[in-house]
Amino acid sequence: MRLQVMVLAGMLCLASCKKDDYRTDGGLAQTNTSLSTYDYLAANSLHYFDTLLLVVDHLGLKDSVNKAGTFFAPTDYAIRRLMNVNNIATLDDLYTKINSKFITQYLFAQASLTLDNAATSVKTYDSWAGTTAGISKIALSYPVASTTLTYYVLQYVKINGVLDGSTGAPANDETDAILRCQTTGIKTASGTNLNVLANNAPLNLIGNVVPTELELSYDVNVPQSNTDYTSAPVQVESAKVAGFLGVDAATISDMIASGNAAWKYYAVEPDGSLNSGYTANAPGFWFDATGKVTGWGDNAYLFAEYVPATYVLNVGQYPGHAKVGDKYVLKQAIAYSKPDGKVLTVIITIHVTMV
Amino acid sequence: MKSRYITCYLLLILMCCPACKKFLDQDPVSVVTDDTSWKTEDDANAQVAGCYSLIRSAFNSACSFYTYGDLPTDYWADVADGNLKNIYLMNWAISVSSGDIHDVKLKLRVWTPFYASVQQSNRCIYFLNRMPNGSFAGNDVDEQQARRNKYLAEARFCRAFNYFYMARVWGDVPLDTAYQRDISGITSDPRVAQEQVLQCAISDLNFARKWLDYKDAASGDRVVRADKGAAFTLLAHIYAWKGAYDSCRMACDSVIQQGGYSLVNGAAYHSIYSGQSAEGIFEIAQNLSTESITATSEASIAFHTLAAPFIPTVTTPRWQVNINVLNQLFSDTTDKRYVNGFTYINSGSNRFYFCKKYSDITPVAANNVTYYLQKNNIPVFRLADVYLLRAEAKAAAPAPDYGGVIADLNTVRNRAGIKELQVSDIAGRAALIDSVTAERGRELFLEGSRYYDLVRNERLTGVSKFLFITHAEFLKGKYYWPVDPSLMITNAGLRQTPYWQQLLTR
Repeated sequence: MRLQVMVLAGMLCLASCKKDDYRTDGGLAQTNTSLSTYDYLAANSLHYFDTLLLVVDHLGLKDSVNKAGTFFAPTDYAIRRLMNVNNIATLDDLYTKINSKFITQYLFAQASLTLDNAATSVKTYDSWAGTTAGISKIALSYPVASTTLTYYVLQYVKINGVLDGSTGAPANDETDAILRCQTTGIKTASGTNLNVLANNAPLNLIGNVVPTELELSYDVNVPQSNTDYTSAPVQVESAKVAGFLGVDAATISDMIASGNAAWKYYAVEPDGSLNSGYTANAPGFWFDATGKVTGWGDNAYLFAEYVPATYVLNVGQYPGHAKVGDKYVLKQAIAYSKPDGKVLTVIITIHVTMV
Repeated sequence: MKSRYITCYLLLILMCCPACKKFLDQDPVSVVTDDTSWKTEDDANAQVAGCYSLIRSAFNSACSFYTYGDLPTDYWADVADGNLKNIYLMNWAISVSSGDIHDVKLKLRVWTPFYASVQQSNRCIYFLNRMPNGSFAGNDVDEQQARRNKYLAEARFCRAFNYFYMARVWGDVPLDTAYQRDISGITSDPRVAQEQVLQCAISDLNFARKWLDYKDAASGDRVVRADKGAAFTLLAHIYAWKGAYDSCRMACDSVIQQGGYSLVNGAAYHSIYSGQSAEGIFEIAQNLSTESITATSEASIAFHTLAAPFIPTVTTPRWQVNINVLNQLFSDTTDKRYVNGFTYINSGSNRFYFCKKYSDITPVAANNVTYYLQKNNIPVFRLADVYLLRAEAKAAAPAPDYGGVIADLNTVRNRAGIKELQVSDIAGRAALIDSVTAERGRELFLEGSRYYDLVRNERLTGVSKFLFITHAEFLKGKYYWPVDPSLMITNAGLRQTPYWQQLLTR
């Protein structure tokens, strides 16, 4: 009986000892991680960087992120905010509007861009996107009981025009945008100093200007004949057209064939104007010797007839008008008016040689 | 032995008693009470000033002047703070624990701060009437009586202002017009029909306009305390809200013709918001360091709408201006109101626009910490507002005076340096009313006006311009705020605002 009590008491003691673990000093927080920059971001237990890493993967910047001296990493929240204010609904849509500078503007060669090294005055550094950004820290305060605690926060300054406060700045110089950090100074195994931008940081959507025109060019030899309407087919690259317009190839065929108002097949006149009045078998045009649209008759030299289903342009001649060895240029266009009002145009230039 | 002890105790107690009495009867030196006040005209002046100060407290409780008047409108595209975003989205029925006194939803559903000011007015009226004539300056009884009536007029103006403001926010509200020394016995104070509340405000103002003078340009109190111009402007607003546009127009005429106000020059637009400009009619004073609030506190409009460089600690404005609406309102970007009123933070790809009307920010360094004081008055009424209200009154008539409306609009447009409107530009009465509302939207951006402008517009045109109220919901009165259920604990007679009855208990 007594033994049992002692054992019980001993067990109780042990159990309570365990609870005292919190009293043991675990040491200072570690700024070093055994993971590479990319892996460290991927390992975030709150999944703050999932979207960021999808973007990094899409742009093929995994190595750059790992090798950078400093990375100001935007969180998923910051990316979501950027997408919201730009009415971007999907990542695919985002990808059409960014290039690698979207990430590399936050990458720097120097590993020294930490809160400890920053000053309240802005120092400028060149990012890997070729832009110049400012780094500084700002004093913020927090009331604690009857006193006030001052602390510093690292800032990435997106310079608009010239750096604010620099000498000789024009009076109408735009205010610089400030992106504040919510975490700073993590040293990753791949040698990066990782700073994390605040969830509400106003990111900069950098991308090449989205082209609104795609130019395709083809050469074709049309057999000359004085008696027949001879022709030769030109195969338009459907994949290029579909990729540029962002609509699958079969749908484009259907839309043009059915005469959908958002889709137009044009002839491009030598002066650049678009002509949608078919003069040959629809959809198709007769052209005169200068490449101008004309009706069937004495002026007609060449025709181009489009077969939407197969993306084939049949280019042919009016019997006896063109001579062997003559060269002509015919231009046509496929235009797509997107729901947002933008018009994307594919311009197809055909160099015709009579043989 | 025992009896000796008892005797000793009795003696001790007897000795203590007189001392106790003296100690307990000390008059507090610093605290003003009704018993120590109401002796001199200075007391009367200070007590009446308390009415205005309590209006300021009510407006600052949750930045309320702007959260009621501007936030649930098309001015904004996004709001960073989740609680305020719910106000913007008109999710006004989300329940809040009554202990969570910092939640803005709770603060905005509670009218207590306005009644604190009403109670101060009632107190002033009660005690002012009981002060002897000799307390007031003046050579004879008539002069002394006039002085007394001036203070009474100010107290009644403030009461009318509070009731009008509450009627616009909640519709029907309890009507208390008598001073209560002890309110603990009141268990039920039901809501009274809005019509009756506004009638009471009108009768207060009819008294006030009789005893107040027009603006005294030399007075330091001008604009921040009521005068005859302020009383007429408030009357005009009450009549417009009631739909009594004929009376509204006449009240506006009085202000414009006799008020002694003038529109400030378009280049000096910003001086309006610094306070006490030539154009100001009634403002809530807070442009001195003794009365201003820090721009980084949630009570300040600067906290919500400004950003760097005005407040370096804010990276992007919390209330994001709706760019589509901004472009629509200011299709002419040379408009001086646009040039002087707005700026943006450019992220490189996006411009975050914000309104810089309330940007008189003074940094104050103390203990190595920089504080930012916002020194802008709250512009409640100003002359341009009255011109546009008169235009609205003329446009609301069944057969509108097109020329008169356009003339008033052009007075304001000329100052802003934009093209004059022509009668031929306007097709029909609804378009005329819409062009007045649009001009008010331009002129009074972020001046606590848009929400009520849109309500009056919809009453006249029957078309909803709210983002989050359909016309069917409008007809059911969604635009009147719910009251917080916590108010019903001590007021058994209180009933929920009709539209919100199904959404918020009781």
